[in-house]
Amino acid sequence: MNAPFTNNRWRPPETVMRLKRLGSLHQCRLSFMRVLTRRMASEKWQFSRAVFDVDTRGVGHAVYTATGPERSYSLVAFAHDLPPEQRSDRVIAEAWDATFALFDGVPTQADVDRLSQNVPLQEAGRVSERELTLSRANRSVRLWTHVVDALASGRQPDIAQIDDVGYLMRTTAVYGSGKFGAADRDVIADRPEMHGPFQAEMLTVYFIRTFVRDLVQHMAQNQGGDAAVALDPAIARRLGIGNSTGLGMAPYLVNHPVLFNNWIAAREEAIARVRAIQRASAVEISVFEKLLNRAELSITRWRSAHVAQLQKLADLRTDLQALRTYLADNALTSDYPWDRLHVWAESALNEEGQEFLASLMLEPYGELIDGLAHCMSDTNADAFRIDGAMSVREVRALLEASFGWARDMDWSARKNIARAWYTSEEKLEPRLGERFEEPIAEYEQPLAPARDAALAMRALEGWSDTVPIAEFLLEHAEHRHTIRRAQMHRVAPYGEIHDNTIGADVLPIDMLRAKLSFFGATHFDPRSDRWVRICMYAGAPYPEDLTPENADLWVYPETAS
Amino acid sequence: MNVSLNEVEALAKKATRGAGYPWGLAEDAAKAVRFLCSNGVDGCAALAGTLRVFDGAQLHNRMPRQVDGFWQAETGDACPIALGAALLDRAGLTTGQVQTVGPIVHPILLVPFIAQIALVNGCAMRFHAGSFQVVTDGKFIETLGAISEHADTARVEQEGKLKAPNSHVSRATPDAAVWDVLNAFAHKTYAPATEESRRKGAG
Repeated sequence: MNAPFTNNRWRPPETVMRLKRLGSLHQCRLSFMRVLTRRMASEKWQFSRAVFDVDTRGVGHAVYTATGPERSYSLVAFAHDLPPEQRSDRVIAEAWDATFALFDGVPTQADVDRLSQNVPLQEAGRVSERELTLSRANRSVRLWTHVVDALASGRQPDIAQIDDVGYLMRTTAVYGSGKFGAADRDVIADRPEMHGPFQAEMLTVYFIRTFVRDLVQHMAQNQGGDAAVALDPAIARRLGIGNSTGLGMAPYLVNHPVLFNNWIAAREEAIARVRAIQRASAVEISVFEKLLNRAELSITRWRSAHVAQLQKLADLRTDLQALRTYLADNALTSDYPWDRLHVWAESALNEEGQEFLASLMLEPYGELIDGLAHCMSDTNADAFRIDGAMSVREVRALLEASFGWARDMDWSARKNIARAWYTSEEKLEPRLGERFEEPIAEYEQPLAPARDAALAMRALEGWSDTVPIAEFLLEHAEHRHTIRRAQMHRVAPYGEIHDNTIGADVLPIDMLRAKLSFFGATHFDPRSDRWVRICMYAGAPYPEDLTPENADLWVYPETAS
Repeated sequence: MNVSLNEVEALAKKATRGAGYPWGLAEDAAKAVRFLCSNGVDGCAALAGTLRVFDGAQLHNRMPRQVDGFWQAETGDACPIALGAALLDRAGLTTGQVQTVGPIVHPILLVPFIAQIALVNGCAMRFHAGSFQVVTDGKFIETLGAISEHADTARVEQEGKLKAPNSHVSRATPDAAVWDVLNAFAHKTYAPATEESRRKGAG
């Protein structure tokens, strides 16, 4: 079933692209993990573990292979014996509990040997065009020790402790797209199973979760011998893979405006299609209500100690109560029930509740919206090319469309430019510094589109409306980056964040959450204003259990009833 | 060395910025080098050579002007990055016209911009630069003659047909020495680490 595009009902970018809202996004049917598990199940992918060669200290390697209709992909995993003092989630770490590469195909022994010399070194090693991703993970020492000890002594681990942490290992980076010598995105972008964004990365993490489950069982067996028991599959399923994400991910959204637009636009189109439905069937209403119950359970398990997140969780719980009251008073059997619900939410709920609800009301309508996942890649290479024939008038209008709000801000005021994004010499990773306290301004990265647009608008003052922008660019090459972005607005209306990314009060975790929500992450737990822990694949079936029936809604925990 | 095209593009962008170009031109340079490498031409060497010539130059000295019908630098040789961008920006305004270029270093770096012009115009373009010619339809290129590091004059015209284009490749194989030069330029974009920045800014 194909609905016509309903983009006249898309929420406007000035509403959607505020940082506070982006920092309140929730996973939905279009999230990349769910897209992957749905595909693997519907195409009946086969999974195997060809090698699991790990010694009693937990050192060794394993190979897991997934085979789809046309191709195979293999996780090559290396397990290490990491001294506790070297365990760090920081990107500047140099050793990890486990390291991984996703191999394109089925590796030979020579491939594994080559990878064993490089993958454990991560950034200090090199991988090749045969590898699609490079990643690493560290144990949650507390939960790891508890689970190994429990299983080794013949007991199942304590559910409260499982839920309190949520994962046995957390990844601290999953690199793809040609990083450190791996295959470029172009190499795999035309494959149906890799066309969607981050599918290689999502497959990597899915496999890592399986490896970690197998490794913890192996270690318990070694420790307990005959006394050890197998981990209850129901408990294993509750375990996800943690992910610790720092600043490196925040600039990604600014650096990929067309791609980011396509993610947001696909979700906005999905929301608009559902709002346009005149009548909800009894089955659709039932799906929504059941998943609301399951989502509430997930929210009760969402832990954070961060003050901003605690407030957001409190807001979300208040919103859920308001939603319950609304649903008690307003049957979804009226006409245009989702549109009514959405309009009500816009004035009655916080951003957290609005975005939670917007994602949830998509759930009954997979047939209507799942195809939008195909539209979420950036295949528009031409968007990079500047149209120099465009008039100054048109460029002004495009700048105004995304950054009119920024034009009259005082861009010399300290609070508006307190921060600067830069790259550190030490680990070549993005950082956010204090412009007036550190010597970083001359190294600033172009990650303040609002300020730069305001400067370009000022430079354009005095230029005649009818002059081609090519003339301006010859005199003002310093604004070339900004003019290019402005023209991208034509194909990417949701490409720009409508907030100041260098102000004293900017929260990079808002950008991190926006990206991670599209991965399908849950249980965002900021550890500061610039790094966040999340959980991936909690509740998902393991490869041997994956079926079309359980491939999609695993993100919502099963309720007791 | 064997590197991904993403690595080429990322390093080329930082290197160009490190040599003092504005970010917008650095982005164009990065895409240009990637395009050359994907067409089997050593774009890394051309960029490294160009950045050495223009390292530290004032912006207005890098920017081309059209004088007596020739695109050229105010003094000395023209920069192919700034000139390529200027030609491409005019693609929609100069369709069908022959563009002539004065003295220029690493003229091969103009080719990716001319390829984009071919896409805008929807027809093949021919580039003459001293000892060599290149024909491009926007996606592929065909080189004729030995690529030189300098040309006294060059010409771009809407003409030509690809007979035996270079094959596309998915990896680049720059010389380690060239890669080092680009890394040295890129290094200028990195802020020196301080204990304070580690504590405050690191993710």
